[in-house]
Amino acid sequence: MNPTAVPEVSAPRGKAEQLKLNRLRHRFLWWLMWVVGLWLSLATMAKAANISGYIHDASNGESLPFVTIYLKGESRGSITNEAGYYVIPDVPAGTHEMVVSYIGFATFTRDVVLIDTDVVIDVRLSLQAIELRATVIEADATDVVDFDPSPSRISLRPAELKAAPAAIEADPIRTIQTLPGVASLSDFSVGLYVRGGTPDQNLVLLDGSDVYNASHLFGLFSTFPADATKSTELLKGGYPARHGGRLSSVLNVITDEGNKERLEGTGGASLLASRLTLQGPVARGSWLVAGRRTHLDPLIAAASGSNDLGYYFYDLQGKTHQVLSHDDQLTIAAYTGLDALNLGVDDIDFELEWGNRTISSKWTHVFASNLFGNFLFTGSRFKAQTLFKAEDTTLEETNRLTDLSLKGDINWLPTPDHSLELGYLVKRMSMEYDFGEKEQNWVNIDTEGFHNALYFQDNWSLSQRLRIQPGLRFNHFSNGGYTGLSPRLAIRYQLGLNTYLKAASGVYHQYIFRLAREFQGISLLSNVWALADSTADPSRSIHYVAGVETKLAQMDVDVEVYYKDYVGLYELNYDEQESIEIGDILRRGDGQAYGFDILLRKRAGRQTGWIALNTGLTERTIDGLNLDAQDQPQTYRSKFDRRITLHIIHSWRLGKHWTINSRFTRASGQPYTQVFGSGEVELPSGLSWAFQEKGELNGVRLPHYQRLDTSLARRFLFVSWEMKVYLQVVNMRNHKNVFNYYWTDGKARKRKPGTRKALSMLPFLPSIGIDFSF
Amino acid sequence: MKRSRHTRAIAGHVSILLLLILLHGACSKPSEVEDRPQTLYVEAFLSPGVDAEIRLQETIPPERYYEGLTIPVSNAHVTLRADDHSVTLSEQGSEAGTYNVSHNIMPIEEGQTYHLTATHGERQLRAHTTVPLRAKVTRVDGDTLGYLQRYADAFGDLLHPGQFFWDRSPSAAGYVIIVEAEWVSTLGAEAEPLTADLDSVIARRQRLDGLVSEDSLVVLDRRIGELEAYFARHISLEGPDGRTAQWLRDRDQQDWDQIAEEANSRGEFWRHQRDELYWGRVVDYWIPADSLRSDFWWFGVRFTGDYRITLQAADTNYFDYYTTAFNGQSGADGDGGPIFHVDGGLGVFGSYSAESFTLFARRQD
Repeated sequence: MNPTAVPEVSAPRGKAEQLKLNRLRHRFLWWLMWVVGLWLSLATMAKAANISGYIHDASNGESLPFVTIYLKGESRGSITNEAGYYVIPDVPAGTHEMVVSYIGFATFTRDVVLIDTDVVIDVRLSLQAIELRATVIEADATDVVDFDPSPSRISLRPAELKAAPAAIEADPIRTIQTLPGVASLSDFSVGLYVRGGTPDQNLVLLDGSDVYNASHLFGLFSTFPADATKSTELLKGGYPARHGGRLSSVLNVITDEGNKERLEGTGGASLLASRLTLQGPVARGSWLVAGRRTHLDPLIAAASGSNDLGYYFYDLQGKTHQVLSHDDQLTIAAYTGLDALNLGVDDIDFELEWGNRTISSKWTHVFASNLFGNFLFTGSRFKAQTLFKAEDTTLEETNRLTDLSLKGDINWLPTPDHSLELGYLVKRMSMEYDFGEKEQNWVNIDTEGFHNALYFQDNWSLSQRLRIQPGLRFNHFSNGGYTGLSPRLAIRYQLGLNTYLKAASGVYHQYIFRLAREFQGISLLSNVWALADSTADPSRSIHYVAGVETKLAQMDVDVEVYYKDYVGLYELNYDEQESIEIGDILRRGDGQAYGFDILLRKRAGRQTGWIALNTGLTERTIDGLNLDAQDQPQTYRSKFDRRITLHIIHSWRLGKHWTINSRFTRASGQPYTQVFGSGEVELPSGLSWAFQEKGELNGVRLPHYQRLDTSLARRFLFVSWEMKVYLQVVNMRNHKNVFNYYWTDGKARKRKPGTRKALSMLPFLPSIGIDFSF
Repeated sequence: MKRSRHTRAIAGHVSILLLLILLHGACSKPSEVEDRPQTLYVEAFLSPGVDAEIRLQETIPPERYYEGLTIPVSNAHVTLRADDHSVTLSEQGSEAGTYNVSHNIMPIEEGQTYHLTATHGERQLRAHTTVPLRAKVTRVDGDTLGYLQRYADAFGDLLHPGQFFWDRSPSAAGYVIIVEAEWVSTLGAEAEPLTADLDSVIARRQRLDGLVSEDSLVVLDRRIGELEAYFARHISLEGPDGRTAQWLRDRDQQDWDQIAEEANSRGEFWRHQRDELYWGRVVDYWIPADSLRSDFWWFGVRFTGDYRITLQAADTNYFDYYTTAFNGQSGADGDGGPIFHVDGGLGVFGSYSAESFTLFARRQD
């Protein structure tokens, strides 16, 4: 497998490369001229009668993204963007019935009389009914026109994010892991393996900032801000030109702006951690502060009888959102999170710290009713440090990844048939990796690169039934001089009232690699991030997705087939011990993933939830791995390859006070590698080291996985506080889900051979907790 | 478009898909391979001036393996070739599976390439190694190391007690450094079963005591004596030349003294002592080929007395195995396990050229 097979254009090193680069430049200029021409021609056609405005939650003033607004009886409509802004362009004069519909809120209807001037209608949606303040009543939103052509897109509201019971601490990532096409490696990992992709191939955005490490406690819990999340959007494949830089998927998390009406507090305590979120009005907007910290320190000290072992993690997040005018809004947000482990044994001190810091500033501006702009500055820093100290030995490993980005996009709706979006990204990434002892650096890598991107996309309604979204993203990565064109296309065809055929395809590039040092998803040491350079080509994937969406007996039904082709995949080269070249410490190869997903989702009523089914296959061919007798790499199944996975999530409201949430998962076993034999080699030093001979990489499978979790929650009012106490039980049937097999060394003194042991995942595990809000 | 017709169609398609999924899932669980023939592996490290010795073994199924157990392969045809000179190695009568040839017949020389072929029945393995040129030690800073007990609380702030330098070996893949306490003796894991044998003989002796005549117990007493003498001779703070060492650190000395107090049996006593000395007596580590110096590290110095420091210029086979020997345990797909460089089998057919010198370690307070 030749890593140079990645069809990227590298820095011109010869005549052929120069010609290729020129061809690409010409092609790109042609596209740019076409875009500008289309833009200008459409601009001349634009009419003035636009309906636009913001959609807010009446209870707290929060803007609501992804809300559908349409004119009843007409095919005109729109979806609010992430800022809650919408525009229905070029509406003819006359009387129209405008409908705003969003699950969880009462449907808003209003007659709009248009003459020939633009109309601004800001809407404040109310919760449909309130029986107990803490009880969210969901409305049934049926017969809503779907204006989004993208398949493989799932959005989750905060209540849905908390639908799946989780071990000890509620974790929204555990809920996302129950969506079709999303696999988890084990009970101990919050990594998202989306349709054959690994966690580092997911673009995780927190209010627009890239998050490079989304887990705590060696991967057991996520950094997800559960109490302050307004909206979560998962794009599993074929995603539009707006997003790039990752091969597999996008997880876009938007947090609350803050309550603009009153001081509000939410919080809770579990056996693991306590958390508190405060928000309220300030100046012309709102503020929000959220924090979470483990309270394990005293428990660990008590259990170990000393202070030799210490561990904690925390998350701290702050945000302010200011409405400067109807046309201008400014948001400034920051996040910091840290995991810290300290272990002291006799004369040895071991310290491990890793964490993220992000800051973002976002300005949104309405240039005209049909021209909306978003401009972001984001900064993200991931830092991990490992220290080992004893007597004359100080081993230190440090990895820093810093990302400073300027992003912007302008969304223009010149006619009802076009929603044009033009955007850019200027991202400076720098990576430092040092490993050494005292003043000596044994390994020192210090690189930086600029990732620049320009994209264009059009949500284009070709007819009443047919809508397409062509897009093009141009990427340039300075470290190595790589350029790449990423065409994207999504098509939506309306078959019936609520039935849509959808398809999408796109090319995706990734210029950053995560060198995971973990045991089946459990991070033993912190991850190391590295950048593509002249020794390590970027990775590339092509997505093909097709599916149908419909409604069936009050349920949303979504069936999709997908195929992802990966080029330039990588695995950490464990054989390379001393190199400082990124290209040497990666094994490169290709892969593919295909399968189909079925999602049946009921989002309204007393009983809600979903059934998610995925069957698929993920395979890879990587240099130096799974070699045959001729030392040629053979295709193998990935560790996270699951043939079939079924999730059932059920949330049942029993009257005003009680709610039962359940999750059932059954999945075929993951692949593992069989051990054929053992041996020992005695070295010249006299020490003997054992080795194992193994069979085909991931050639056999573990037994199937099965888990039933349930939680029971009771809500009540305590003085003026809304309280929720809950009991949750993970793995109610105590099913022995195998994490991995291993062979013991046996007992040499008794001449007793080793036996195969199964490491089990989570057993029957009850936990309790309390949440509150005021 | 009528919704009911459409709904029925969708329901029909979903049912078909569900059926396909179940069929797909049912056919996807390959079972483990059973009764697989075991693989030959070699263990040989050629060194200039030393007789070539090749150990031939086969892997052991995991359900039969325990630490220290090896299965030698006897009656194999083992040849060693250098240029046009080829010899067949003879199996040692005293040690099954070990094949050797005198240095006089097949001299091992620096810069020479040696080809190994070992055939046993249908199985054959092949490998070759080129013996690296020697790396000459040019300077040693600090030939006596004095340890103060307060060093234990230095937590990394302590300076290394010395360093040494060498000239580059142009053909070495890297360097392996062995730090060996010369005044300490111990045994390998193969001695573990003997410690249990000692316990069982003592238990039998106690059971029979008073039930049989004293003469009948003599055999058992003799066996106990033999085992005790064997352990005392080989597991001790005493080197082959009779000089005795002591633990450098008070904490280690206390742990050592506690073994006698806490052991539940004589076998357990010797097991724990063997373990402590096995992991304390020798420390080895590697240095990349482009580096020509090494510090002395306190973690490699546990006892008082002489230390032999050996610098090995290692060939690719030896060095690659050495640096990847612990691979294969991460569970990661990218972790392919140790590198062997043996066609048709496993193990190491490596070579090295060595230089050594001694240091002296003592307690300074």
